[in-house]
Amino acid sequence: MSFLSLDGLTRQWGGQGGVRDISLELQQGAFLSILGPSGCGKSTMLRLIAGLEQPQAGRIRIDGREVTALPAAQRNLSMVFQSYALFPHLSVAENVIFGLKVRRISRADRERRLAEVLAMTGLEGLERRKPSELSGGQRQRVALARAAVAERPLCLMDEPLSNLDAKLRHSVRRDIRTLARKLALTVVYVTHDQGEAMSLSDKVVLMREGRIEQIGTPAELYARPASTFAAQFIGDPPMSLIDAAALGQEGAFTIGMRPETVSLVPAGQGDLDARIDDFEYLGGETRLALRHPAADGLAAILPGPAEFQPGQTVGVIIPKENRLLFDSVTGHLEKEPQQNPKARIRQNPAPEDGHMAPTSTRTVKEDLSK
Amino acid sequence: MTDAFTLERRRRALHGWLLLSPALIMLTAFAFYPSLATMVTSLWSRGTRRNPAEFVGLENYRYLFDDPTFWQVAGNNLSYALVTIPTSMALALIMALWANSKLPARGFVRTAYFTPTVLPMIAAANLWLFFYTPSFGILNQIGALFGAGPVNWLGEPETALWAICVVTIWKEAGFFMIFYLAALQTIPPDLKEAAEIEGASRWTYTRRIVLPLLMPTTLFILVNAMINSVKLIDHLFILTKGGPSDSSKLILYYIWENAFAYFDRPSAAAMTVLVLALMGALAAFQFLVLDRRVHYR
Repeated sequence: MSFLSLDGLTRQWGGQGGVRDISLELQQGAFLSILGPSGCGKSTMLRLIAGLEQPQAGRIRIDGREVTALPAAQRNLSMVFQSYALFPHLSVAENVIFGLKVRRISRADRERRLAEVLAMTGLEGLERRKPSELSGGQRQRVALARAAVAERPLCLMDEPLSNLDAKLRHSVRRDIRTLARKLALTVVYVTHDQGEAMSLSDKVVLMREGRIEQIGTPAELYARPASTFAAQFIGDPPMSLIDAAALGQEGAFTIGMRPETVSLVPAGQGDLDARIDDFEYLGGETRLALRHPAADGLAAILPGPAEFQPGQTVGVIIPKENRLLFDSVTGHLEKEPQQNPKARIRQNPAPEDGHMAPTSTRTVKEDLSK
Repeated sequence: MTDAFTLERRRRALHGWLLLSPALIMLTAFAFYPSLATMVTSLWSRGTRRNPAEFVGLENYRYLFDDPTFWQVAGNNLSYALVTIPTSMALALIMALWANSKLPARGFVRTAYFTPTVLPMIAAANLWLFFYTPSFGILNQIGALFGAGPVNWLGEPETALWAICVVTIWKEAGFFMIFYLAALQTIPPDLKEAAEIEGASRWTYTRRIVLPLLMPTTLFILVNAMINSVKLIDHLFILTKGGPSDSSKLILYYIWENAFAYFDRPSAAAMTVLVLALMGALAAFQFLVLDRRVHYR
């Protein structure tokens, strides 16, 4: 029995934007990211779950209860906004317990829960400050505390880190993860940053133009992207796409491969020859941006330092077992690599229990085997 | 010793005074000097050709306090302020909250509310003169439909002041609404959604979030409304001229009468000084005491 389930959810404005026919299931306690470029409908989806937007079709169930027609307040969820949405005239403490006061929870109870979440979010000593007297990171923590104090099982987060600078983003990201684990929250987290989605979630929903492109664990999305879109959205740098003809393969295919599976040899000895465009030494690894007329975003990540020069032509070896085959016309994944590619993936393997496999991949495979 | 440094400093000082002078000259000619002259006039007796004005100290004030009309007029003005200020502000807020929500004809509603503000007070007063006309004015005609007898709204001492109040409220509420509307539009919609998710009803949201955030605007409007309750007397000239038997006379109208109808400038000056002192005290209270309790973003 899934905790959150969406069934054929549709909400559009004048036939465009919004989301179309969204269905997904989420287990209790799971961390789900809705990932996608801007304008793909991810915020709409969150607002539909929250009850701030009404669907035109489809149903939403939370904890086995049909909530499609219920107002936001009765859905038993909390929400963290991108803009923090703190009440500017109230102090930190008043902001956090606003909801408890509204729900007439006793003063003693309020005080206890307030102290708890303030300790949890590291806001002790700031109780009496106004939001305008806090830094961006502290404001976001107040917003988190306000969501946590409600003690509701489902927490929705709408790009909570996008207004923070890179350094703060990492520390608040850790806080979010700790908080979600400690409170056993089921989280639905909207982001356009694939790094956030990959590092935080148990399950990622990749959206594109109002539809679900792929659902899966971060490792599944990384290793078996359902389409060239997914391949190029996930990973930093994303998957390189090469015209199959350039690698001597028949048919209208595009071959995808992760930069870290590539190895470089002197020119002429590899699968194809490419020019080194750019060169970044990062200590533990070296990143190379390569150029080849038949390749899109060709890159290589080599362990440790590498002796190459920008402008140099090198041979690129792309191991057969790490090649993903996409249909050039539809962009769908055609064929998985022969070996289990996870062996070479450095992403943290996330728990896969109870999650659905990426459905689109399966259907394409079945179609092929017929 | 005039070294380069002193010279430069003098040049800057001169520059500063030059920049100040336009405002300084205008304010001195039209605000500071008249106030001072008024204060001086209020301490001198009324001069005629035979008896030139002489210094009488607070005599004019004593005379004023003995004048029953002054007390009646002051009382009138107090009732006028106590009725028009809260009513027009409350109406303005309600209209703004309504005009700010998702209405089908939002533009029309806003325009309709703002129309009275655009009209000159004299025109508005003439309009209301027709509404109030006994027997065939629109108010009496509506009343007649329900079987009420004709009422001479402006001609009865019991109703004249209230009739005046209604015109003022009608005129001012739309103007104040614009300020509230502007303030409401600066409140991010996220706050409403956050409150909604926390389970706050619309009323709780309005009371706990919107009203506190509107406080700076409310204070601003309050100051304006108070000033207007003393300043706005144009409609008296059209509607009642202060009558019947001074029942709708306001302080500024009485000052005008004293100064330009009875040519009793010292009394007018004494009253003006009192009004100035009262307004100054109110402004000081608002900005020193109320201001601290208001949250500014």
